[in-house]
Amino acid sequence: MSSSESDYADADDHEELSEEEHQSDVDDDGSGVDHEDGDDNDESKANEGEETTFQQLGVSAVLCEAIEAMKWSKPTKIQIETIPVALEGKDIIGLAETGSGKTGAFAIPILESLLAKPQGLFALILTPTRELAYQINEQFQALGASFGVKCAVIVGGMDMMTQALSLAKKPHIVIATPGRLIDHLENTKGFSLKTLKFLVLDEADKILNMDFEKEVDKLLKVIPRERNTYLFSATMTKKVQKLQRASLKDPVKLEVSSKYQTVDNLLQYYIFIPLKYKEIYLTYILNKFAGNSFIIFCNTCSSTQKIALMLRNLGFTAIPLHGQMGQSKRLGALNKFRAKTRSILLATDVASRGLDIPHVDIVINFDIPNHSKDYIHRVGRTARAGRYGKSITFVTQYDVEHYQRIEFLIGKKLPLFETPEQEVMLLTERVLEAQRIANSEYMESQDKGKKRKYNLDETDDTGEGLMGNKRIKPKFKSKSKLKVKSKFR
Amino acid sequence: MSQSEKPVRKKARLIRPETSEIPSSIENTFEKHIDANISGLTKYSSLPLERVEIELPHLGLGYFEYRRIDEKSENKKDLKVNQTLMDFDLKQSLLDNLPKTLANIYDGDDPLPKLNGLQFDILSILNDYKDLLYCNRDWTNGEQIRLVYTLHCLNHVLKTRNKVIHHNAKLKTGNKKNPDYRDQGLTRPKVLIVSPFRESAYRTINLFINLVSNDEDESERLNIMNHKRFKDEFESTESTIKPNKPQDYNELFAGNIDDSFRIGIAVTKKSLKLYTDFYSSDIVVASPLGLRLIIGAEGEKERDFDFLSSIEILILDQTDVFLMQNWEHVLDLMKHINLIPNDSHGTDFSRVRMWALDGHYKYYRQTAIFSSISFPQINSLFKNRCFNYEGRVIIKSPVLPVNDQLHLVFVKCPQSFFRFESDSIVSSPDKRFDYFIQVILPKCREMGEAHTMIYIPSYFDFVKLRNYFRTEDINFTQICEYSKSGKIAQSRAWFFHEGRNFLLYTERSHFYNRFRIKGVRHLVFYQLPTFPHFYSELTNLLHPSFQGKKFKGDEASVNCTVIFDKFDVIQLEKIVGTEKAAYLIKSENDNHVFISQAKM
Repeated sequence: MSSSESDYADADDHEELSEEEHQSDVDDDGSGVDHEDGDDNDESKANEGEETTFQQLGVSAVLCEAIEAMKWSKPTKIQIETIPVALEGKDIIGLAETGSGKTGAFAIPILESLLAKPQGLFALILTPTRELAYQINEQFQALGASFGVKCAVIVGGMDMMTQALSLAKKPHIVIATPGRLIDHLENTKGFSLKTLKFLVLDEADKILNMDFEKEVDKLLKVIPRERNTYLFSATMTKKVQKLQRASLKDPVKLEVSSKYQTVDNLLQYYIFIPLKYKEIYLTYILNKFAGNSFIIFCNTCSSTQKIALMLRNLGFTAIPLHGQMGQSKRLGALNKFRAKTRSILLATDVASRGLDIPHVDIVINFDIPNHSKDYIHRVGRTARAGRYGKSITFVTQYDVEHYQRIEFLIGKKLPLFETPEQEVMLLTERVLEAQRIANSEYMESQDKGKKRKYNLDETDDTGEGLMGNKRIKPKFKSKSKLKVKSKFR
Repeated sequence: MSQSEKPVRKKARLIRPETSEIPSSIENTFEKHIDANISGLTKYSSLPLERVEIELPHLGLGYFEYRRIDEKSENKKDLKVNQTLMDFDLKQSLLDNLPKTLANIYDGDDPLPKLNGLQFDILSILNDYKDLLYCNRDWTNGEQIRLVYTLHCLNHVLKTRNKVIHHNAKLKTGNKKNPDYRDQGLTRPKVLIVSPFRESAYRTINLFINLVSNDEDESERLNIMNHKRFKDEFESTESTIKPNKPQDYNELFAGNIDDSFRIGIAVTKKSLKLYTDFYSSDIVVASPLGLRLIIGAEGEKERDFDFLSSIEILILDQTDVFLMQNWEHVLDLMKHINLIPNDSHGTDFSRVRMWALDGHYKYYRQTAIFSSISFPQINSLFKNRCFNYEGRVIIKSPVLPVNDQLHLVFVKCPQSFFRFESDSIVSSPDKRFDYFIQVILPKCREMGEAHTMIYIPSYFDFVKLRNYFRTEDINFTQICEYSKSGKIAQSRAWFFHEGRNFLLYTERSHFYNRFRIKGVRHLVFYQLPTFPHFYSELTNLLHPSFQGKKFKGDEASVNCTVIFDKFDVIQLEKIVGTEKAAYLIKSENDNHVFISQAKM
C-alpha cells in the first residue's frame, strides 16, 4: 500500500512520487519535479516499463502539451484508473481522497470530449466549498488555456449580476456550489442546464453532509438524463449511495485507497493534557517550533478568533479562517498565509480539505476533530508533496474516546509528544493575561457584530456556521442517520 | 387592409423625387451596426484617430472622425448622403405615415410636403449609425431636425422589435437545433431623448404618435395608452407669447416650460404605451433634471440608473439650453449611461447580445447632439464621452464675415476687445479676474463709472466680483438668476436713475428674461456671452434711444469693452468671424477696437 500512501501525500500537485524519490527529493519539491521531467520524456518511457504516461491513457496530443506545461509528469493512480474508463464514455464513481489528483482525473476526460464537440454549458462541477471551486477553476483554466476553455465559478458571497453575465456568455465549464447555482436557475432568466453533457459531483459526501441534499435533488431534475456523471467521494456513506442510484447509470466503481492512511513522512504525535492548560501548552509548542508555519484546527468559529487574538497578544502572527467570514476575507486570509506574511493559520474544518498550501510544517489539532475522518483531512494539510511534516493532537481528559476512535481508524498508536511540565508552566502568567485581553477584545467585536448579525446568518455554502450545533456526538450518530428520509429513491 | 393601404402607398411613392429606378439593394445599416463583432474594442481609445474633411450639400463643412478598429483591413469609412427616402432602410409603416406627419406638422400650403435637403443630410448620418454633433440648430430648423431623429429612433426601435418577434416565433416552433438568438440588451430602454422642457418633449412624442398611427383606417389605428394624461401633463393651451421679447425667446419658451419630467414609451404591435415603467419601455424622453432625480447622488438610498445600461441611441436636443439649466446633470447622465446594471430586472440572459455581456455597450451607442451654439463643454462631452465605433461627424463651418455678430450691431460706438494671457483653462478665471481688477475696472472708473453694466456669463465669476465690489465699497447693484422680480425692478430703476453706478448682470438672468435694460452707456463683457446673439442684442442697448430724455451725448460717448483670452476662441469666432478671431488671438497687440457701420 505504500504507493497509495504517497498518492495521498502529493495532493493536488498530481505527481506520483515513488518511495525512493521521496527520500531524495524531500528538501526541494521543485527540483524533484524537474528531475522527474527529465526522466519521464516520451522517449525514455521504455526505461521504466511499469510507468504509464498520459499518452498511453489515450489523452490527445493537445492536452498532453497542456499537462506537460503544468509539470504533471505522470498520471496519479486515480488518473490511471479513471481516464481510460471515462474516455470510453462511462459513468464513474471514484472513491478517492482529496489531493489524489482527482481534479485531473475528471478534467482531462471532460476537456477531451469538449475538444471533440465544442459547446457552451458543457460540464457542471459541483463542489462543497468555495475555495475548492476556485482551485478546480484554476486547474481547468491551466489545462484548457491553449484552446480557450471558458469557465465560470458560481459560488455564494459574490455578486449575482456578475455571475449572471458570465453564465450568459455560455462558458464551457461551470464550477459551482449547489446553493448559488440553484439560485441562478430560479432567478436568472434564460439560464438553463439543458445542454449539459457532464456532471461531476466532487466530494459528494461533504456536499451531502452540508445539507445540500435538496439542492442536489433539484439540480438532478433540471439536468438532462443523457449525460455522463462522475461522482467522487472520500467515503461511501449511505447518503452517497442513494445519490449514486439517483444520478448514475451503471457506473464503474473505482477505488484508489479504501483504507484510511496517512503518509509516512508525516510524524504524528499526541499530547495528553488537562483542558484548562490547553492554551499554555499551545503557546509552548509554538515557541518551541518558532519559525515554522502552522495550521491550528479548532472546532468553532469563535475559538479560532479568540485564540488568534490571544496569539497576537503574545506576539505571534496569527490569522483566523472560518465559515462566518465573508468570501473576500477568507480568500484574503488564505493568501496572507500562503504568502507567508502570517505564520499561523487558525482554521475550522472549512480548511481541512482540498486546500493546497505546500509550506505547512506543523498541523496542530487544538480541538480534537468531531469526525475521525476529519483527522485524516486535517493532518493531510502538511507533509505534502514529499515534504516532511508534523502533527500534534491535543487530547484532554474529555477527549479520550474520540482519540481512540482516531487511532482505530488510522490503525496506529501515536507516540506521545514529550513536554517538560515545569518549563511549560513558566508561561502560565503571560498566557492567562493574553487570554484575558483577547476575551475582552472578542466580546467587543461581538457587540459590534450584533448590529449586522444578519450578515452572519446569510446562507453560507460551507455550512460551517452550523457545524457547531448540528454535529451530533458520535454516540447518537447512528440514530440521527435513521431520521433522514430517503430522498433519492 | 390592402384597400386602405393603397392610397397611402401612393402618397409615399409620390414624394419620391424622380429617380430613374428603385435601388436594388438597400443596405441594412441597422443589422450592420448592431451585429458587428469587433474584437479590438478593449483598446478603443488608444487606436489612431482618422480624420476626413467632408462637405455636405446642406449641412456644410465639417469632418468625419473614426478610429481604425481592424488594423488588417483597409476599412476606409466614408460618408454618403442619400437623396431619396427609398435609399434609407426605413420601415414601410414609417414611410407610409411620413407624408401625413409632415402635413400635420407644417401647416403650409404645400399639400405634399417633402423632407428637405438638411433633413436628408442628417438622416443619412443618423441612419449610418454615426455620431453627430450639429451646432447650428435654431428655431427655424429645430422642428425639421426633431422629425429626423424621431424617425430614426422609431425605425431603430421597430427593427429591434421585429427581430425579437421573429426570433421568438422561431424559438416557439421548437426546433431542436436552437441556435443562439442574441438580439437584446441588458435592459429594455434603447433610445434616450433628452429635451429641456415639457413642451419639447410634447412635440417629440407627438411626432412618435403621428409616425406610428395610421389615421385613415379605424381598424388599423394604434391605441395610444394614457394619451389623455399625457395631454394634461405636457400640453399647454395658453399662449405665452410676449410681444416685446425677441422671437427666438418666444419660440424657446413657448408652451409648458417645466424642466423636470421623464416619460417611458413602449412600442407594441397594437399600441403605443405612454408612461410605461422604464424597464418595459423602449424609449425614454426626459429632461436632465428629471433624470438626475432618479439617478440620484452617491450615497443616496434610492438610486436607479440600470435603465440607462442599454441605451443604443442617445439624442441630446437643444443642448445649449442644458448649459443654462444645469450642465452637471448632463455630465451625471453621461457617467451613468451604458454601465452594467446592478440587478437583472428580469432580463432573459440567453438573448443578450455578446458585446453587451462583455460590457462594450458604450462602443455601440450612437449619440447625436443638436445645439444652437458650439461651446467647449459640449465639444468635450462629444469627444470624451462618446465612443461609437462607427465614428463621428462634426459639422463645423467657419463663420464668414457676413454672419458675424459685429454686423448686427447698429450702434456706432467703439467696441474694444482686450486680450489677457492665461496658460491653462484652469487658471483662466483667476487671470481674468486679476486683469479685470487691474486694467479694466480703473479704466471704467476713469470714464465716469455711472451707467456701467458688467455682463458675466458664469455665476461663480459673478459671486467673486460681487464680493470684491462689496469689500471695495463700490457703488453697484446686481441682477442675477436668483434675484426676485421686485429686486430686479428696483435695481433697474436705480441703475437708470444713477442711484447706482455699476450693474452686475448674469447671463442666466438674461437668458431667462431677456430684459431690455435701459441706461447702459458703458457695457463690459466680463467674458464673451455663451450665446453669440446676446452680443449684438446687448450692445444695441447702448443706443441713445435707451438712455432717457436727459441724455445729451451721442453714439460716440458710449462704449463697449470685451475681455477674452485664447480659451474663448469658439465664442469669439461666432462674434467677430473666424478670420478676425484668429487674428485677435494671435496678434501681438492685445487691444483692438471695432466700430460697426451697420445700417439700421
